[in-house]
Amino acid sequence: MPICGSETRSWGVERIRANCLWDNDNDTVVDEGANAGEFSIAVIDTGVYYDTYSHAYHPDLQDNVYPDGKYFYCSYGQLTISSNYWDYFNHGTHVSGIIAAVDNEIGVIGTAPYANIYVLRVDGNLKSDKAIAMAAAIDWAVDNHFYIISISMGIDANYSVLQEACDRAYASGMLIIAGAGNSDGPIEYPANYSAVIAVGAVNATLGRWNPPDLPSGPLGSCFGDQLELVAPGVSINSTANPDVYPYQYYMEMEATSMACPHVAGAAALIWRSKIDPEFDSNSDGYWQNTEVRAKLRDWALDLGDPGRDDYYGYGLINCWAPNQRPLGDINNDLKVRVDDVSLAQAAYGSEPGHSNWDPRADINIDNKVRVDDILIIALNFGKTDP
Amino acid sequence: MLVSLVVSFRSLFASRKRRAALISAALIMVLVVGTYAYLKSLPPASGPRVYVKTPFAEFYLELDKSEYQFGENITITFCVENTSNKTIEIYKGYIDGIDPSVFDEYFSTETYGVSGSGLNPYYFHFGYVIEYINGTEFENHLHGMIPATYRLFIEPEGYIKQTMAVFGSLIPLSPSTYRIVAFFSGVMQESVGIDLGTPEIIFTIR
Repeated sequence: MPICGSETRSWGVERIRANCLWDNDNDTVVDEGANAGEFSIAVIDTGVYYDTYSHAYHPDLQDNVYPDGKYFYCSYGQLTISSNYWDYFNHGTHVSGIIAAVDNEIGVIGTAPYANIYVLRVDGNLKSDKAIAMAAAIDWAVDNHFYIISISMGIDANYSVLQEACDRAYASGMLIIAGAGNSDGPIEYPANYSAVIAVGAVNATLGRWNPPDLPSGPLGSCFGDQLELVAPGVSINSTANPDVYPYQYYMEMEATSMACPHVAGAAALIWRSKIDPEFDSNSDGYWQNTEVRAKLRDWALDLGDPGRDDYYGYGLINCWAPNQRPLGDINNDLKVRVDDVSLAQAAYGSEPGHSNWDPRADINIDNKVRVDDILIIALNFGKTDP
Repeated sequence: MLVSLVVSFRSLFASRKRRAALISAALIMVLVVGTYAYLKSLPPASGPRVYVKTPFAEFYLELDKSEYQFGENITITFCVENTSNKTIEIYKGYIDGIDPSVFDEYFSTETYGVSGSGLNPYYFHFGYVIEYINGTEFENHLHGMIPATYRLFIEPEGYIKQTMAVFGSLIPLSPSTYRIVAFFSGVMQESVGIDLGTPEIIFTIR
């Protein structure tokens, strides 16, 4: 696919309503002054594509990836750290685009198009090597004061070195978000640690990603009592490595790897927003990792069994309601006034595909503008952003 | 100029001794080139090979030898071939890759009649387990750590062959006797999946 033509949003970004926050007028351009998640995120993955001669990144990531990165490689217990973070496997490039593909009139836009990506490539020979490399990358992110780590990787075994690194990171104030795994069974590591937000994948109808099983074992979004959130993970269009897949700058991929970065972007949007006093548990006026986590959970669209369950966690990540200032302000003018009510009234009763559908009015992102959305506006009517 | 070149060329054949020397040199060159070409055309020395065959695919595992010196590289070849008359679809749940910046000299992929999103030269499509002969596992390489799917389509007579040389330069296997088995999973043939696993190969490190 050549780099030309108009820019699109993947269905995932639209479904979690990230665009309502930074493209409120729906013209596929980030609104001036909008919160588009200008926040640093460490992406622990397979690296990122760059032109090996010019060192230019993918055109949709050029402005949002830090100009250097690290490679943590462990071979039979021997850890080496280098600067070779070129993405041979295409995966990290795709994940980075889901988080932070820029608004540039080509390709796609990410969940948080102003987020800054720092690439921490990891690999290893044995499973234990992979755990050591991942732990070293997490420690590096802690030492360098990152607040969000996105890890679309998993190991089907628990290693104390990895758990301890996650615990240290969480205790230091960092939010770690990881893909739950694809084996339709127990959640993999590090997602299975309590210090980590485990993210499962859903399809466009919000069903758990669970394709036909492979002969070697089941295939589907992993589940269990540590599953915290779900996010879009099927047919996700994002940035690709054109050197690995010649001339292909974008491609669709699927699975929990693609769900995780949606949540990382959502966390950046919240962290970048003004603190919500209701969630400021220590009243210090700043977001803490536990507070961001609570907000992500609190506003998720409940799926599956009522309340938290093992297959959908707290539900589908919602980028819209948690970032309204004040809640109920659906036209982003920092006030809940008659114009918000008018927008909601005009869209009342609608669903996607209807002529009067307006995603901004669907505050709880259940794809219906109903009484519950109107009620949120009514309860907050007259409020202004303090 | 041209005339002088023709004269000097003729002078090379002026005497019987010179002609004999020239013909001998030419014969030696032909012999050397021919021998080199013949040796190059020979298949590499192969060691033990084990097969698993199904009605639609053939999968083999091969080592270059069955006995190695301590610290020597072990070359492992994995190959799956579509022996049916229909395209085989392979759907993988995890990406497993071989880092060419580390294994550049030690890993190669050869494909014929293969397409799909998994046609990345750095993806490793197979799995293997190496155990000590007493059953203790040395290395289990079955599960990639990248939870994203990919697809491959292998046409009739198409194949994927991957060769890796391992251990010697990285960490020597200690002198002992080992067994290796290989796997190829995710095969979908008309919605029916079959998991391919080879018999074991026993090898020894001296």
